Amino acid sequence: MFLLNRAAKLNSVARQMLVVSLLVAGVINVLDGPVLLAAEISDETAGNKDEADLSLIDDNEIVDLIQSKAIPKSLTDKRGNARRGEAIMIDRKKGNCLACHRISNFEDKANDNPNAYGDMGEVGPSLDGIANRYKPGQLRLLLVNAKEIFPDTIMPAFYHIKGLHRVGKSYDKKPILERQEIEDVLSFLLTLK
Amino acid sequence: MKLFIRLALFSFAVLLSVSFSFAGDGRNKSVQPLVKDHPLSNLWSGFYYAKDETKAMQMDDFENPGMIYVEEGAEMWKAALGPKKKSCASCHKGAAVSMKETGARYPVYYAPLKKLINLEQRINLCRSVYQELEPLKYESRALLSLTAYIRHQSKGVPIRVKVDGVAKPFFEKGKAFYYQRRGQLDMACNHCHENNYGKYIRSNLLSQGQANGFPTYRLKWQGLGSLHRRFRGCNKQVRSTPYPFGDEHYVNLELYLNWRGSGLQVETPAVRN
Repeated sequence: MFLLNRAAKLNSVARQMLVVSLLVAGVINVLDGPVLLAAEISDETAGNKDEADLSLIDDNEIVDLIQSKAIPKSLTDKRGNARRGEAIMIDRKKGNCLACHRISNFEDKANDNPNAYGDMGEVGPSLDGIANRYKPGQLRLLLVNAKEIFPDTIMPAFYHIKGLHRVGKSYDKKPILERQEIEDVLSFLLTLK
Repeated sequence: MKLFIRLALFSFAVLLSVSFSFAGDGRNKSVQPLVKDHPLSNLWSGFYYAKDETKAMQMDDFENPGMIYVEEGAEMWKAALGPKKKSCASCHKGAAVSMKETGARYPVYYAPLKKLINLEQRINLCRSVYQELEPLKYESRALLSLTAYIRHQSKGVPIRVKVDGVAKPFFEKGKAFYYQRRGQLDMACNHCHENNYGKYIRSNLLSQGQANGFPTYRLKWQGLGSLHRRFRGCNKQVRSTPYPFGDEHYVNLELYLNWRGSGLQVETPAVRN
């Protein structure tokens, strides 16, 4: 046991060499060798600071955990306003969401007001039914900083300014949208079912 | 009424011939990159993404508004100036021969300055060293015209720039610039021009961001503009502080972009929206 404890501290190649030499020397027999090793390895993890939970995780739990990247809490103490949210989304100087995303509901409005609702882009996914695909907290995180979920996305972070490079003077140290504007846009997105 | 029908038929025939000529035009087809390890398998000139009327404007030398600049550049080429009464032609003779490949291989490494220089900077070096003249201001009509005239001599020549040896570190810097997210919108060149070309971003059809048509006449500018002007526009659009015209960052990027266009034909002066 003492020898194997020592072995656990060595790197895996050295450990294997030691086990082989122990086998050759007949110190441990072939059958209970691996069992002993497994015990040593779990001893090793028990000694770590981050104690691993060894109870099995099921597939649904994995999906839940992946999807738990979210901001469940509101950014303000005021409820979002979906009408204002729509105005922010179509505003080319604010959200400008239609630069990349389509919303089928807007097609009729685009006929009457092409400047505001026309020319919906095709770079991002359609927002039709977006509220069915994500929970509110996930949508909030996607608005705040989509890169938390999709690291390589073209989508700007609308309320996160850390790590930006060479920001223009008039935009420096400012997020694209204010907290309340995020909540307003979120309220509108939640109507897209 | 008869006249009207005739006119209609005639304009239909013109339209038909224009669209046929697009189909047969090399600029409307993709080419394989001439270099290895290229991120794209097919290269498309911005010509391909332009509207039909814009393509027609570019193809007809009499309609192409960039050709006025080229003609002004031709005059400048011949003009004997400065204390030594020297013109470009005094050294380089006819541009059609001496400048045939030039527009397809710039920017190049320039040993005395230990960095890259682009065509605009080469022109100004010639002015100060050989003609003993003041340099032309970047983006001035005169510098744009002379640059356009010289690069126009390479029209149809496939782009092939030198990126190894002494040029390598500058190429690598240009590449790093290309993939660097920047500005409040936090976008890099690749987000539009590598990952999403061929798609509409609002009313604009994204191209591969190729440099083979510069200096380009942009309808939006109502004038000819340099590649660096386009870079500055892109940088400002992502709400980033642009670099000055002729800045090293942009010349390095210019080399990298031309490498990304290896095999595309020079189109100067291109017409774009």
